[in-house]
Amino acid sequence: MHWDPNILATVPEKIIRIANPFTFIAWFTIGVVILVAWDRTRLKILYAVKSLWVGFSILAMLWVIISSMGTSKDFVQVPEKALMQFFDYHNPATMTAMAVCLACCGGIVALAVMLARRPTGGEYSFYAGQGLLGALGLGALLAGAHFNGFDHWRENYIRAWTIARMGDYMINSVLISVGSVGLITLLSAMATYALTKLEFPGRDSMLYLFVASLAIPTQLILVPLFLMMRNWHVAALNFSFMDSRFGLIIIYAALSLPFTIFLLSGFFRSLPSELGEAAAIDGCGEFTTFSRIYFPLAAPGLTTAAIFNFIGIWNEYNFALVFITNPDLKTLPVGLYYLVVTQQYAAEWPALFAGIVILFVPTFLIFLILQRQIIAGLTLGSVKG
Amino acid sequence: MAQVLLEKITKIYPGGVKAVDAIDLHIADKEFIVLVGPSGCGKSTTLRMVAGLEEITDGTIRIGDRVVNSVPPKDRNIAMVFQNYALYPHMTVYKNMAFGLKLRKVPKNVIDQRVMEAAKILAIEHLLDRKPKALSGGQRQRVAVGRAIVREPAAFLFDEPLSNLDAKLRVTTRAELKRLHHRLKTTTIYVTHDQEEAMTLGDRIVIMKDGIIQQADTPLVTYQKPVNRFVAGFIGMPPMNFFDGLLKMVNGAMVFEEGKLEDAKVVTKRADEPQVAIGQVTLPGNGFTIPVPEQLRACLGAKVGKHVVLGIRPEHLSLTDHGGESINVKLNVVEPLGNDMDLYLETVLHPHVVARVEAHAGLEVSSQVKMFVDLKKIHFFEPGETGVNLSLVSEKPHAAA
Repeated sequence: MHWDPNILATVPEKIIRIANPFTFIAWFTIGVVILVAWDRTRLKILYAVKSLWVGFSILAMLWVIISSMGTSKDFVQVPEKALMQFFDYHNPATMTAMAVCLACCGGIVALAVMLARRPTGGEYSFYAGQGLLGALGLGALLAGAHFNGFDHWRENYIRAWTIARMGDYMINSVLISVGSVGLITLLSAMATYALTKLEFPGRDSMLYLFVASLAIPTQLILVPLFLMMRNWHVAALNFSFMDSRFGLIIIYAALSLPFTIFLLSGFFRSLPSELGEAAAIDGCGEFTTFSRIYFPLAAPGLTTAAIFNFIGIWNEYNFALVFITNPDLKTLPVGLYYLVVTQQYAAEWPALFAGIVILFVPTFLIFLILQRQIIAGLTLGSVKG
Repeated sequence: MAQVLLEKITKIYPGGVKAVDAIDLHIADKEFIVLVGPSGCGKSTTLRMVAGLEEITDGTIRIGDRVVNSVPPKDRNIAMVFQNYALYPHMTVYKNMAFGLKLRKVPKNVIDQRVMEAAKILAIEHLLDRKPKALSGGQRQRVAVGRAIVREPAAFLFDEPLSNLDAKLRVTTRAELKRLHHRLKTTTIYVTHDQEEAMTLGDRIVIMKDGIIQQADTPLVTYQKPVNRFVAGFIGMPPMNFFDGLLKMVNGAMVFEEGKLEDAKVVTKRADEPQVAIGQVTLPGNGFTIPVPEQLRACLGAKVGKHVVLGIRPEHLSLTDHGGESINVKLNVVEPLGNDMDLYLETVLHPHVVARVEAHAGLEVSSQVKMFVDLKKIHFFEPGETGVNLSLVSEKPHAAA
């Protein structure tokens, strides 16, 4: 990071003086107040509170990221030191950068709402979150120029990736998440098609049964499932549910089906049945009607379902812990926990934080890239497509 | 190209609703037949059974020489155009039209040729790369028709294809469909609830009610010789006027007297009604009376003294005397239509009578006017919603119009 702080040193004293953390909060509050005054509805207040909440969680995340780049000593001696350095009262350059950033943040939020002619709830939260995140990220980069603690990020991440085996766990997590999400998407699309578009006796009760099974907490079936699966294996295929990536994929797929079918059923119902009839006359059988007509049309809904499932399975801990004991096959959340357990006395906090960042980055990226899709998918089926 | 034969076709929905009740219909090769009726009459169900989208409870359907009762839709060699077009939203116009052929593994150059030809006929060549979302209602409708004709099926099935178009477009598309049928000469079954559409399009029209065919004949015959009161009221716009009343003999001549049948009484004394023979039934009300024309007397002879319904089409009432009988009515509303105008009238007993007459200036609303009835074109029906047309019992043909 090459950035000359002397440029900021030329900023007049007055401006620097108003640039302290309290001023940042004031700036942000002003932004929020402008928003509320702009359109005095309860909804707007609600979203203002929501964006503050988003801001808090992002700050916590930021703290983890900063800590992952420092040394263990820094962290243990003064856990909040990283943040304190971030908000260095005595460094005018850092302070000015932060002031500018946070002011920007409030401004962006206010602007976003004013510019979007009719922001929906989802859009608003995302504008707010993005504004805050962008501003803080920019601030972190600027401030980073003066924070020597960041120098350790390389060794921390390398340690987490190799010695703590985060790299191996990442591969397992990717295989298991992608595999089960693919399986769930395919199976639930087919099941939902049958449950909403085909006519057969017991169809509705079957759908209700799926919906009803949403009420069963997965923790409840963990132990019985373990006892059932422990001794069950197919010798010919050398397959067992224990200590097997594929076994875990099947378990995840089975557990996610009710929710996914529930999510998709409303969406499939919104697709006109006439399309299926037209396809039947055009020459499609049941399966081609599904694969050529309804499956492509359901893509937005399927994507939403896939993202939700991916995030859930990526972070899943209980089943991964119980069904995988082989250290080579562990997933990231379980691996992260083992990192904590094994280093209880070694106190490798920065490496742990690096591990958390590794765990968190993929889902975060997916959310950033596909946020519009997710919001669109959630409201799909509610209006005529 | 093929004929379509429906024999005793019945559809009973789960729950016992009888949508179609043992109908027989013989649709000849190259014929354009229109099923018409109010909603819930079973016309769409009949069409969907022919398409194979609805299971047949009883009876047989033949397309060509083949019984297709248990043949899946894709193997029936038919093509269908839906009310909402049912175009595949994720495919371009070209792919929409080619889809059926592609599934049948028709060679690519043949598909291309047929799609281009159909696009040319329908003037949608410039739209082939667009998705349905980017088309107007009329264009979507053309694509839906195009998708049907590229298949070159044995029969076209249309399920209210024009009802989503605006009034003007509906009329032009109607004419185009007719032209298309003249060109392709494919057997066509067309469902609509609009009698005007039925009249203009069909070689024959089939009027249905409550799952039963009321009449199946050419448009002109259904208009001139409706078999019952329902058909008479359904075909023709504005609908036929119906008057409840009684047939009686006055001085030896058969007349119709309008009135409520609850008030009927038997003449017992000469003084009651001097012209009517003792023992006859009469109505004491003040409804109008018109003589029954000569050609109808023979077939109505048995109905003297009984409740009948007189039917007069609005266009057979006029303000000028062409040698008919007249009735006195009160003029309520005048609706000018350009060349013609509709008069909303009121008799003493009947508050809603419509007449369609030539445009006329100087009519005073709320005044009493004399309407002349074209006696050659009146009908008498049995009472009840589907009362039989008594005028048709006679072998003597109606005066041609």
